[in-house]
Amino acid sequence: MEKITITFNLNGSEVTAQTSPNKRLVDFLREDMGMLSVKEGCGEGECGACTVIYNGNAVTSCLMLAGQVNGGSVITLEGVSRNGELNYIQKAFAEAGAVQCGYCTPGMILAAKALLDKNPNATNDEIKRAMSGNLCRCTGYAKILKAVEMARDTKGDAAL
Amino acid sequence: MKPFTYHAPVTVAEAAALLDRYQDSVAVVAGGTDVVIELNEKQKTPAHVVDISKLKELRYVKEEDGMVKLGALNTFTELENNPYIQEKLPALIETVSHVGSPQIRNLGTIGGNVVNASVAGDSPTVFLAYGAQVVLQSVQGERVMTLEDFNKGPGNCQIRPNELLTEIRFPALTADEAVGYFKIGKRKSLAIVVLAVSMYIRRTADNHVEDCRVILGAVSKHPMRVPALEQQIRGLELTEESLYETLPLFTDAVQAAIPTRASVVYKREGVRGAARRCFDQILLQLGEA
Amino acid sequence: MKMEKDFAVLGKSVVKKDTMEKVLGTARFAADLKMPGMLYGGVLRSTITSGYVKALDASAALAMEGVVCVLTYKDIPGKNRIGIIIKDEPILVDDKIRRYGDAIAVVAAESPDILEDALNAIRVEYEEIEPVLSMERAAQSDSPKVHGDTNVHQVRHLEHGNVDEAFARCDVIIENDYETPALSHMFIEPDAGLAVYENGIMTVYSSTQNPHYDRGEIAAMLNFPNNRVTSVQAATGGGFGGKLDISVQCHAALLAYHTGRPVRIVRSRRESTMVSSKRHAMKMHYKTGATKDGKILAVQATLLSDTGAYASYGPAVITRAAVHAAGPYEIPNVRVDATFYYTNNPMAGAFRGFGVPQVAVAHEGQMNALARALNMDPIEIRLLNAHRPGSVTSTGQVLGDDVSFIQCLEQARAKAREVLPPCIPSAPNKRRGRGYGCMYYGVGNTGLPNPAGAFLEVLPDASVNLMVGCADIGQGSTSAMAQIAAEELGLEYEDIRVTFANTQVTPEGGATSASRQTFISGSATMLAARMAKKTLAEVAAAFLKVPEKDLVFRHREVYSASDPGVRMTYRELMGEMKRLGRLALGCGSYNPKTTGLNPADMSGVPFEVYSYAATIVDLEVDVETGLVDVLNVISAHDVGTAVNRQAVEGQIEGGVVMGTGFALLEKIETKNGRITNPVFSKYLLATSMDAPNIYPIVVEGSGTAGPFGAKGVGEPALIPTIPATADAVEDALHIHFGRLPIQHIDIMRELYRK
Repeated sequence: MEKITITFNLNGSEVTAQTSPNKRLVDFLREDMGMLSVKEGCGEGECGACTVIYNGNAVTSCLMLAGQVNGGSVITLEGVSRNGELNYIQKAFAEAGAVQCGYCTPGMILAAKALLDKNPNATNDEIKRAMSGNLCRCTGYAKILKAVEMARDTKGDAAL
Repeated sequence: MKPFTYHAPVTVAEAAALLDRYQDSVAVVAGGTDVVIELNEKQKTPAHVVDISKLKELRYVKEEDGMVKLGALNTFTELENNPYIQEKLPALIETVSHVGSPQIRNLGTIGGNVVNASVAGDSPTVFLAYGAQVVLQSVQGERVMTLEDFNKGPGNCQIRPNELLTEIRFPALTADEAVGYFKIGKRKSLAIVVLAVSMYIRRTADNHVEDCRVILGAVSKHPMRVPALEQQIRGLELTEESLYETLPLFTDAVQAAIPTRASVVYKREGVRGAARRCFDQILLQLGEA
Repeated sequence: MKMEKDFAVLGKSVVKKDTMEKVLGTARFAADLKMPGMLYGGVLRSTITSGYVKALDASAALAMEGVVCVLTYKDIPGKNRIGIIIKDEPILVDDKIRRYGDAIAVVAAESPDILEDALNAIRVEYEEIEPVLSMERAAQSDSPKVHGDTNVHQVRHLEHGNVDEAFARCDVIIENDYETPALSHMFIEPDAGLAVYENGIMTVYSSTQNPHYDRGEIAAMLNFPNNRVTSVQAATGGGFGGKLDISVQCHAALLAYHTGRPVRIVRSRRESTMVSSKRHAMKMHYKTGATKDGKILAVQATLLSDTGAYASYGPAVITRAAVHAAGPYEIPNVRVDATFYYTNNPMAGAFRGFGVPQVAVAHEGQMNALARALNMDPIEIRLLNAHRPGSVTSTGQVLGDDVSFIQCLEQARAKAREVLPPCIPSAPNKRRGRGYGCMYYGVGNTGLPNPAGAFLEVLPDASVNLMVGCADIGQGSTSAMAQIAAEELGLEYEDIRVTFANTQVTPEGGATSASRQTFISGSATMLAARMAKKTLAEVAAAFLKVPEKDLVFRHREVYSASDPGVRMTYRELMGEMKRLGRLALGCGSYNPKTTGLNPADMSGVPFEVYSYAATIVDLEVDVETGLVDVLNVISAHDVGTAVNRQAVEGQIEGGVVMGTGFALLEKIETKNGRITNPVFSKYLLATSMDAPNIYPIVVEGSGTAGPFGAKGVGEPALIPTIPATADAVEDALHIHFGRLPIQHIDIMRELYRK
């Protein structure tokens, strides 16, 4: 089987990689690109753990073929912080106590980022809706939603 | 996933040529929300995959010659954010905003939803109410057929292996026409359609129902028109009171359609609530509420 | 009544120790682990529910390039039986297939694709026998026997007071049936693990709640001494009881043992849900008698459950269910009869609450029915019957000073008055209801020893290494241990590094189950810190020339309580330790003070402490669609002392949403013993849009048991919301639903019953 060449922007850097075409984006990111923050929870787009930001939108990377990102841009949680310093959403998740087991956390933070990048003044209802493709079994969502609200409210003061 | 050769055409012509060449063993990926799962679980094992997500020319929304034309590759999110649809087609907004989750709406395309023809597919129900047609493109040219003729149930829509669904079109609504849609799902997000009702009504000058279409989703194997019900609604005065009086008939229609299915216990009752909301939406749009 | 607790570190909200790596995405879960030369392991599973393997042909698989080995039970060098209480489950089927998905063979291959092809290429010939699919069939004398010569798995009888005589004196008797479904934990991370066999040591990293138990099972399978197996908990994406049993650990270890190469097994969502344990479905019949004033005189309960193909935690669930069957009330006459059956259904085991959520549905359903029958306020009738310090439980245990149930009820009621709007529907098609639910929950294993230990060293710069066995599955035990150690030592939370759940270096922690770790591992940690502090106090007392008893350790300083000017910093103290050649070491272990239960009537002291809770649910039902909108939930929990307040709230909030799901949405469905909804698209969890406003209330008591009075909240968080939600639906519709979940279809069926 011939390999395909994918050129795309990964977390701000242009990347060219060869990979097998029969690979989902989640597998390509984890196995080929080493982006281990991308988690697989269901493989059917129902849990949101594998959420990444593709061309500015939150998507479940288990529902995309690797080749589809050719020419596009992908952000994973690895690309959200800089040099280990937390971005304002990550900071809010930490402070609000929004993290329990942590398996849904990367997808949650990226869903929040996709929203706030586009709509920095999102209402609480818009936040609830934007986070509704990411399942969490631990927190009951309360502190996750609070974290995103905190992030929205404090964005102006944030360094990142 | 079985190995396959991957193609990512950037024009419809290229895509049609690829489909024509590989029609014996090809899968089309648009949003991928269903196909990629099928590929991954080896329910589909094509030799070729044609990824049409780069066909920018199929992402339009326009009104032209009295027809609303939706490019097949519009995602649900794109339709939800489209100002024309927001202004003119509230039932379509109601539909696309309740599909799956934000992530699914960002990926899933309207064409994929129609071609996939899932029993619980969201959009075919409302498109039938709009009286939609589908445009199918192949190297041989273009075919246009009504959605009603096209959608014969899951895995049985009338698309040929070398064809691409490029557009969904339907007549633009006049001030005397309205469409309603209501979906019942078990939860507020990530919900598949338990039951959906969509309805089209055109009124007469003296405010009676001149014409109507009633579509029940997730009752039969494909969205189902109910001519008997439409017959009963035609001619009624366009008021809450007279329309609501038909609600028990919806129960009868569901009971008749699926008399032995376990879910009939629910659907025959729930259908009244969904139909009632369609009536409310229509009355609101026609300024009668 | 609230005791003033002047803690330096405890009771504050701290950022959990694992938070940084989890928000950065650098936490490594088992599926993220990779090693050079690693193989991909997988399991061939039975596609029948009951029968025998007549023949297995792996030749086609073995002939494939990249397939390294195919192993069956014949390749197990040691013991081929596992199980937390009763060892009745084969690692690989030898004698008989007892459920759909039983493991028949394991395969190691060079890539996941090859692995999948190899598993598909193995041919199995089965001989099927009639599967036992219901308790009714299991009980019949002519049914096939799943294990041994009877399908009766466990029986319990609890007898307290004189039930028959008491019913004769009752003014009102309420009798009802209740039924709760099998449920799936649906932790978001599917089970996974990596086994490495090197230099005679087997090391298994896995997603687990039970690393020390895992070690024992792996060692027995390989015929290794326990100290040649190291079991390490990888970051674990939720458990809720579903990661207490062995999942991939033995299979991965067996493959690593035979291949000499690292082997990783990652279950798919489907496989994970198919074969991990399920909540015991339960059928309950309750008879409750009271005076016309609402004082309950007698409860009689019959509990029936299907434990499925293997025992797992079944014996623990039946005991705990029987002990808690009467609820958090002082009822002088109680009789409980419980029977669990083996069947060929999916294995039922531990799931957040061990049978208590099930009985809470019944005892609270009865309480609410009684309140309605007597036209009493649901809180008042509970206050009248509630456990208080000194109350006698249905096992005859006299409760200590650590019972704050009354405060839970009162604070929940006060909050409801403060925040809940009038109970008026928002639209003509809506009905609004209020529901009430309570619970008590014994912390730790029921009437059984369940110790945990801790090791601790204060380092020369006054930072601390703490080693505890207890697995942190996200609930925050690691951070709680750090707070407890810091509080006891007089250091800060940040000073404590915790190594946990690694059998090479951490002592026995027992299972992260039964809401026991804060209480038990926490007590062990406190004792370990106390031992180290003893040495430190000797040195500090000599240096400061004050009696040891007069010393206060607080905020990185040591000073005289009577003369606070006499003080030294912790660093100075550690310098003095170094000068004297002393080491600040501590170890501790704790086993709750319980007694075994009398097999005749279950009398005894099954738990040292109990947590209590009271919950109020406010919801609306759409009578056109049958859909329920849970609007507000108030949940008040007596946790003794909140170690990390934010984490306690997080437990309560998570429990509330899981509880509404239990009541309204979730249910495992099976066909011929096979789960038909093992995926998130068919087993529905509440989303962020379905979650209600939650008002968690942390009630702190004056009890002295446990580390600084802390009890447990992990499972209690779930329990009271379930009956409260069911009750609110009943209140809205005036229809009694004894069977959960109450789905839209059930509501419509009852509303339009012909």
